[in-house]
Formats: sequence, structure tokens, C-alpha cells
Amino acid sequence: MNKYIIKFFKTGNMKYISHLDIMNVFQRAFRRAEIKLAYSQGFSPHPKLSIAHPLSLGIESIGEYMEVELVDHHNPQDLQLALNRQLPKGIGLLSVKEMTKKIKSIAAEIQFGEYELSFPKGELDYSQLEKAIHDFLELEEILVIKKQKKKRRKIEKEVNIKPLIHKFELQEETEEGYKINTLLKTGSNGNLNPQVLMNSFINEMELDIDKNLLHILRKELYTDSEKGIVTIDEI
Amino acid sequence: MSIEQELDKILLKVEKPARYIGGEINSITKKQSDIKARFVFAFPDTYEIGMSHLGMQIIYHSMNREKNIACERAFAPANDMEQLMRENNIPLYSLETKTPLKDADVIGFTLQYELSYSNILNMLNLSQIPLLSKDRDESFPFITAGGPCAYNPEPLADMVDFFLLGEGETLNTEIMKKYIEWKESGTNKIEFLKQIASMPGIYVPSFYDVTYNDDDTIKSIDKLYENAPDTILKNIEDNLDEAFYPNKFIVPFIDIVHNRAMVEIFRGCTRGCRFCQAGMIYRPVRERSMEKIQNIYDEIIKNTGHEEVSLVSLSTSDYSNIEPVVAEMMDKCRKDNISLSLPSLRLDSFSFNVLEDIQSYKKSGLTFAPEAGTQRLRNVINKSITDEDIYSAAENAFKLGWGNIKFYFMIGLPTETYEDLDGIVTIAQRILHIFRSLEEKKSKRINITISTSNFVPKPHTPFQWFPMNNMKELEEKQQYLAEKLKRVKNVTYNYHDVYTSFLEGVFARGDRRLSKTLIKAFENGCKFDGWREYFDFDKWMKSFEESEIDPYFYNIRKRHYDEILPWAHLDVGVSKEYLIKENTKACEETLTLDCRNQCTNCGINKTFKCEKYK
Repeated sequence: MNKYIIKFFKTGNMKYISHLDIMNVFQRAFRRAEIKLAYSQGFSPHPKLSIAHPLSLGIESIGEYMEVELVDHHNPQDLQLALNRQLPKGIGLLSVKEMTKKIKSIAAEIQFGEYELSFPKGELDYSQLEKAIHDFLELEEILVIKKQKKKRRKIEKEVNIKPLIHKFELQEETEEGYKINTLLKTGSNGNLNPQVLMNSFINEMELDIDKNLLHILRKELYTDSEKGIVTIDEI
Repeated sequence: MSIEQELDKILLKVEKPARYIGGEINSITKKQSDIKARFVFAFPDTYEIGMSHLGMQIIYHSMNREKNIACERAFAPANDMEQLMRENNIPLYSLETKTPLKDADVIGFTLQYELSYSNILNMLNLSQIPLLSKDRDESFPFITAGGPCAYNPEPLADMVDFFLLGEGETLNTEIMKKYIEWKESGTNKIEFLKQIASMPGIYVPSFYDVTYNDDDTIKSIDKLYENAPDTILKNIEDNLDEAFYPNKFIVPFIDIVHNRAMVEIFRGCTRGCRFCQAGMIYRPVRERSMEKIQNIYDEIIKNTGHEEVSLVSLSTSDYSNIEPVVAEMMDKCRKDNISLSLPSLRLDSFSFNVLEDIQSYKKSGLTFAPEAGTQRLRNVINKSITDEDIYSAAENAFKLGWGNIKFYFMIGLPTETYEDLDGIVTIAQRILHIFRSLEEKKSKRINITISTSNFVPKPHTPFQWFPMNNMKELEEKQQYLAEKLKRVKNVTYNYHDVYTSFLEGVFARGDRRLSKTLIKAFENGCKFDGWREYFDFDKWMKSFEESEIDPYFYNIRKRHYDEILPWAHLDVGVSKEYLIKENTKACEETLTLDCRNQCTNCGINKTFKCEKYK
């Protein structure tokens, strides 16, 4: 079957490269590494390579996952080395695991995403921020406007994102600023984008945080299993 | 704050931020301590257009072979980015090391089309570099420019320190080596210009003075520095197998206009179409050997991972061994799962076999370029294609399943009459008739696109003396065709805007007095003139007025053979006698044969080795 789950990072300037373009970056890296991707059959064949949960432009990640199917069998360590030699600065493989269990797709298994949100201190002091987080989570409902496209019509819908927030806590204070750690519902059964969350947090609590200086890092993607919450490549 | 930090604050606010970050596979970032001279290759259009340009990849990698020389890139930022850069006081920078252009040693612009000149000025201004050469003191980099429009660079004579005529594979590096020597010698900028003025292909405009007659034509072009050459001969690579060719193309992160690896199979063209500047300035024909072509292909795919490769030249079918080369390429591509693109194929039976093979699933469309609607006018322009060629190719295409066919014509050609325009309509009608009367066709639908561009006379061609049609004439011709073609079913008619053609015509054959107009145009906010959404004709007319230049003088005027043309001192190797002879033959409506069959004495073999000259 030759299927692999690849965990990779996408940091630095690579945060400006969109999901579709990243797919091309990988396809070309495979070709340069002379590793043949399997192609789908049919009228317009496409390589069997998919990224578990596309990242929004501007977000960095050290917990990206991708599944690929190859023509030949490769040793996971060799695969990792060969591809890392061909990837641009800012993208690299963290681990490669051969897929043993038959699952539909890793994308369908994703339940949670963990993010680190950092921003400069500005005028905000620690206790103020702590209180804001507390008050924010005390709100009965956290409503945001969600823009949707249905049947080519644009509609705006108000949704309550509170049930999608599983963790939202002040993690540390450094010289540069604050770091918030958060665990959000992610995937096809409910999804919260950390940018939407931060916008709502800043607006609801009337905080003086410059959105241009907000830095978001995805740390991990998780799924539910018999063992509890595990990283997506452990299913 | 460093430029990188500044960029981090604004890049998420602009469209396609990947245009501005660099770091692509095969891009080269050198250690600061290794660099003795930094050249910035500046493309006066967006990233997507500049990155599709083969010349940039060649120059970039050829210069970067030298350890001490860094060649980096800069493109014209789109409007949204330019606004943010200006607001945040970020100067134009090179993608590789984020060095402000004003701190580079030499900035080289490529002159691919006249309508990009305003972008050059805008990019200089964004770099916080004075526009005029005379205003740039010793602290500023040298500004140079090359590419096809450098064969008449006079409109930019006041802004550019020196021009490069011809091919840069070796010349650019040589110049930078001289630059390093000069920098170490500690002399003035003028000394450097004097040193390089005698190198082949180098034109220092400030070493020449142009004087004018009362009727505004040129009286004389005189040297101001006695060691400068009387005429500047272009520089070329004699042998393409020995010339440098990059096999590590920079691979962009985002989709660009031509997102593929390119293998150049030959340079030059033997057809001798009289309107075509490329056919004259890139002489003589030089082919790359089959072996070399295949090597390049292998290396390029290995190094880039591109999913598409194209064979490039002015006229692919004219390569002397085209059939085995294409067969070999198709074989390799099939094995590697790569798509092959073959632009500018002549539609003969061989090409159809090839196209049938590489487009078997998706028939993307076929393009014919008869250029003129009647045999008479095709004789005038020396385009040796007959009505019969067009019709049999179309019939073939329909039989094989193509339903989309495009035709390119020019309007406003010398001697053109409305009968010639009717010829275009006849071709469309006839093609439709062929389709309808055909029984064994695979495609049920037919779509004929007729596109016309406006003929612009270009320097160094047999048509350089002809007047261009005025805008009213061109518009009337377009209206006429639109009206007639409206009545032909399944035909779409596209035509090129006359205002940009007018401007292109002025700058193509303009002299150095137009530098003033360019400055005014920049001040009036002209940029991206090749882009419909930015082009503002009124601003240009205002700029002509403010600089007291009559644009019609350059366009709507027949020049005499003995007039001193603004590019008279620039030599592409094709003789004036040949151009005059071809101009006369055009007026007599006689064809000149393809010079691969018999030498037509264009004069190129007097200065360069011509493979076709026997």
C-alpha cells in the first residue's frame, strides 16, 4: 500500500505560502528527491498527497500532517532525510510513519488543534490579561459573525464559538510579550480558527492588542481515541 | 527595524505576499563576506511576469557562478504593496538579502516592452534613487539596462548610465569583474564608464551628443568622449553548446504566467518577416545540439521538480532536427509524468501528430498566425503562408477533434487596404464552412477567435521607416472588422487597444528628448501601462504636453532612408542596405525566401559566424 503519515513544520516566511502552493512545493520536492508519488486513475490523474488540515495564511505551525501514497516502498527514515534535503527553508519533515491501520483519511479523524498565540505586552499588564481571559470564558455565549457562501449567495450567520474552545489560558510572560495556549475544536465536525477567536477576544474584552503583531503558531493536531486525546499520527 | 521586520507587519495585508519574500528553491543567497559586488536584476513588472522570463534565469545563474559576485532580484511591487512600502518608508529591496536597491553596486533593468518604462522610473523612485543619471553622485549604484528594447534605448538615455546590447551570459559577469577592479582602484564613476565603453555591446549614452535639425529630425550624433566607439555592435554568444545555460531554474512558490522549466533550443530566425524585430535583432540563427538539449532537460527536471517543460525558440518547427528532438522529449516526459509544451509550432502534419499525442485528452486550442488577410499583404510582410496552408491545417485540426481555433492578424500594416481586412473575414467564413461540410469531425462545437493587434513599426526592421496608422484609422479598421465579423456565427473578435499601441509606437522609435516625457509621466502617476486597469492615456497626453513633445512626430511620419534615426549608432549586425532592399521589395509585394535555403545577404555574416551562410 505504501501509505505514509508525514508530520512537518511550516515556519518563518513559509507562513505566506498558501495551502495549494504548499501542495506544489511538496510535489516538486518529491520529484527532485526522485520519489514517485502514486497517482489517481482516470481522466485527469492527480498525485495522492493530501494535507490533513489546511492552515490559514499567516499562521505558522510545528504540527502539520500530510498523508501520501507512493509507488514504491520506502524506509520512513530515508524518506524523511531525502525530502528534507529538497525542501525550502521554513518547511521540513519532523517524522514519517508508515500507515498500518486502514482509515478513510487523517483529515476525517481530526478533533482538536492546539495553538500558541503571542503578542507584545504594550500597555497591558499581566493581571489585566488574566482577568480578561477569565471574564471572556465566563461569558454565557461568545458570538461571532460567520460569513458563508451558500448556493453562490453570501450570507452572514451568528454563531456561538464558546463550545469550540476547550482551553484558553495564559501560558507565560516573556520579555517580548505574552503567550496564550489554546485547544480548539478543529476539523469537519466543528472548527474554530484561532484568528477568529483572537478577534473576538480582543473586541469583547476591549483590549489594546495590535492584531498586526499577533503571532499564531499551531503546535499540534489531535484526535480522540480509546486512549483519550492523542496526536493524529497515533491512530 | 530591519526590512524583514518591517515586512512582517505588512505582508499579510497584501495580495500574494509570496511575491515579496524570496527564498525559493534554487534562489541563491550569498554570504555577505563573500560578496565583492552586488548586481540586482530588476524586472519592471510583477513577480509573476518577471519570473516567467527565461533571460532572467540565464543572467541570474550565470552571474552567480562567480563567488564574489551576487546577482539578486527585484520586481515591481503591485499597487497595494507599493502603497504600504511608501507609508512605512520601506525602500525597494532585493529578494535574496533584502538589501535596499540603493545599496547595490549595479542595478540592471530588462527592457522587454516599451510600456514598462514608467515602471522603471517608479522602481528607481521607490528605491530612493534619483531618476536622472546626472543627479546620482558617487554614492549611488550604476543603472544599466538590456533586453530587446535596448536596441533603441534613447528614451531612457537620461536615466541609464550604460546599456547592454545583446546577450549577457558572459558579458554581465565581465562587467562586474571590471566593476570590482574599478571599485578597488578608488577612481570616479566616470572612469568606470570610460573603461567599459570599449567593451562589446556597451553603450554609454552620456558619451554621445545628439543635435537636431529645425524640423526636429536628428542632425548628428557626435561622440563626446573620443575613445568611445563610433557605432556600438551588439554582443552575442557564438556557440550555444558552449554558452552557459541554467539547469537550476528558480522554482517559484506561487503560480506564475509560465510556471515551467524552459529548454531553449535555438536563437534567431531565418524567415525574415519584415515587421518582426525579433527576427532581425537575434540573428544569426544558432542551434543547440540535440545532445545538449537532452542533457539540459534531464538536469532541469532533477533540479526543479517542475511538472511541465517547454521547448522555446522563436519558431520551434524550424529547428533542423525537430522531429527526433520532439520524439525523444515526448518519450522522456511520458516516463517522468511531465507535460510537454511546444509553443510556436508550425501546423504541418508532423506537428499534428505531436499535438495529438501531447494533448490527446485535453485539446486546449490551436493558434494560427497568418498575420494578414490576403496573399498580397502577406507578400508585403514576407509571411510565407498561403490560404491553402491555413485551410488544410484547419481541416486537419477539425478531423482530429479540435474545436477551438485562434487566428492572429495585424492591422495597420504598410499598404493595407480594406480589401485586406475583408480577407480576414473571408478566412473566418471559409473556416466555418470547412467545419460545417466536414463529416468526420470529432468535436461538435466550433469556436473561432480572431484577434488583431495593431502594427507598430520597430527599429532595425525593414519597416522602420514606415508611418504607423493613427489611432482613428486603427479604430475605424477595428470597427469595420467587428461589424463584419459579428455576422459570422461562432466567431469571437478581439482587438488590442489603440492607445497603448500608440504609446508603444512613440517609444519604440523615440529619441532621447522623450526622457523628459517619461519624467513627467512618472510625476503624473503613470505606471503598469501594459495593464488595462492602470493605463491612463490622458495622463500620458498631459505628460507629452508638459514636456513639449509632439508624439505624432514619432509615429505618423514617413522617414526617409537618409534620415539619421535615433538608433543609427547601434548596430545589430544586419546591414542598412539589406533593410532598404527588403523595404523596397515590400512595396513591390515580392517575397524573400527563407534564408536557410539561400543566403539573403542580410550582412550578419560580416561580423558574426552564421551557420546558415554557405
